[in-house]
Amino acid sequence: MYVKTTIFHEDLEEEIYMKQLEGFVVKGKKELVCKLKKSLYGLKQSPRMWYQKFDTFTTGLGFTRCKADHCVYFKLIGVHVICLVLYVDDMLLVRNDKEIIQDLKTQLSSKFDMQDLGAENYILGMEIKRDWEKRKLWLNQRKYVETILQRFNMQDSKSVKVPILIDVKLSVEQCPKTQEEEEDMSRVPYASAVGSLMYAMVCTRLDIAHVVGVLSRFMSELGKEHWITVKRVFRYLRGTSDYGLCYQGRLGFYRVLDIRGFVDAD
Amino acid sequence: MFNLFGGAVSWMSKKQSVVALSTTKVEYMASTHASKEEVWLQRLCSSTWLVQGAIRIDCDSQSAIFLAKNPAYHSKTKHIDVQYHFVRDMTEEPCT
Repeated sequence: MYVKTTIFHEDLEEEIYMKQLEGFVVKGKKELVCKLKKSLYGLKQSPRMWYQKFDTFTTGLGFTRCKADHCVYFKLIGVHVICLVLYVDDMLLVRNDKEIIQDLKTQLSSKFDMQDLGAENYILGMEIKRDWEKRKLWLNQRKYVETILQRFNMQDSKSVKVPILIDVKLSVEQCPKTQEEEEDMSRVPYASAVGSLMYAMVCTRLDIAHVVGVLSRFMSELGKEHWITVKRVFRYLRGTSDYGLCYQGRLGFYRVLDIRGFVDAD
Repeated sequence: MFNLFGGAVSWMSKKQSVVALSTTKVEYMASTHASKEEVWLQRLCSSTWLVQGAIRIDCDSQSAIFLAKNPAYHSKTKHIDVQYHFVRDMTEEPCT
């Protein structure tokens, strides 16, 4: 579900004043300002107002807000569970019963201007694929990866198998020595490239977590080697753009989880 | 990295923030970071309808594991900063 006009038009709690708009100044009353009655886009208070309104509404419906993560709500109805995950104006509803959710959707739509996108196939740029029978779910960012490859003109590059070679040692020593080199490097979109990689890393691509971590240490002092490494990551992504995460359920005690952590340092 | 039924749910790669004097200390610090994440995951699960017991963290250094399990005082580990002993507290009383 997607909420269309969320941020705007919420009622304000604070008193906020605005300069009179150019061309809309009341004649003879130039020194006056406008007092805002509703929130406007770009106002610091607007996202908060939206969240508060949503929060009161959902708790009114019997939802409980998760203490550890305030954008997760859940509700128990007998053996049925509805889970509501909110991301600014994007919403995911998870359930184990189809009918309950229909009620909720009608209730939500009556309060907010909403768009029901059906079974979600995309969320925050991640593609969701499902296999109901095998109880499996995949998340991948193929589309996002292809977009960033195109943005940095790497869509026709030759793919490589590993994101970073083991003998590559990056350090600040490799920063440009001459004026010419420095100029060369200043033309490279290093920060935005690493930023694009980072988004992929945070969402589904944990395989590039290490190299992104290494690359982001050289934001200000970057040399040729650093840029080559960035390009190598892009080439790696080019060959593995459909890699993603796979989640699966377990039959039987679905409420009992079994999370396990692994740590390593080197 | 945290796995749930074989699917990764949380991960992080981080540059070591301090110079460690021993590999034990490095692994020990890494497990401290992991236990911080564990606390959050545990809270997330327990505040919903899901059931999750103590989260098991696997570490590939025997000495770091012993250090976390045994709160005894060692003359060789007294240089480890108090904040990294957080993992010990977590091992003693699996997260509240």
